[in-house]
Amino acid sequence: MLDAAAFERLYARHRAGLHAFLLRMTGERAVAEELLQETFLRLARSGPLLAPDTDFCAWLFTVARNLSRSHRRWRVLELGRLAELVFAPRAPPPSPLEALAASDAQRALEQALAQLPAGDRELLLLVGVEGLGPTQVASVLGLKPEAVRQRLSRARARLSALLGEEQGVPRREASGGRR
Amino acid sequence: MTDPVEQRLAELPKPDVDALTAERIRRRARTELLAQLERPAWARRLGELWSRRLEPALVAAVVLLYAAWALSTAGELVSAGAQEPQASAALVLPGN
Repeated sequence: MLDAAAFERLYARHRAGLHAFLLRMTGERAVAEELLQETFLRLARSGPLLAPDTDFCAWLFTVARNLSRSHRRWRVLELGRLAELVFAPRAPPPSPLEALAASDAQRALEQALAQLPAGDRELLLLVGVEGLGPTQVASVLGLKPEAVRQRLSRARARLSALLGEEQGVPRREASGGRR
Repeated sequence: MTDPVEQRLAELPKPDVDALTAERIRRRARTELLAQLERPAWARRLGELWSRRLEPALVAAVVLLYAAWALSTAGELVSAGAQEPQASAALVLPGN
């Protein structure tokens, strides 16, 4: 059962990782903060009922991922956003993370991540940035570990292709080496 | 981690929220947790059962009942509309 001390430990350990994940999934600082708060409120509400052997890291990222997906769906339904998508499709705005990038290479990586489909992005963030294990990632995404491996391979290839494009390498060369 | 892409991903920063926001979120969630912990275990389980099972089932039942009512009403209206020309013809004929 989750008690106050365990909650404090989980909050200290996972706050930054969850915030970084939500920020990269939503691209908006205010939204990421709101979803981070909702993630920990849900932990506070459901934590006392969870089994003692619950993997809280996977549980928290599952909640955060579901919240970011819900936010994305509602965002598309906003009338203004819909009009923007239909009448004036444009490149995504610069992410707040780009300002934090320590180098051009990191900035290029942030830009490439932001351009990936959300499914690829969340997978790469969970594995590459947050360092979750295959079982944890499978649990967060509701997939089998084998499916995670296949999707990860495709996501890596797409990210490499995007990075290759930004560095002036044609897409076919960049992705061809990994297939 | 041998994959160069994942190597680069691992080096990305993990930006945290500012200290004030972190404290605000911590306090809100902690207050919620303490309120949950004060409730008896049976009340927590009942709350969980309500929000996870009973409430969705109730909403689904209401939606199904409403859909059934709407379909049956639409069917009655359509069939009444189909019978209407005959009825009006019957009404007109005796007058002639």
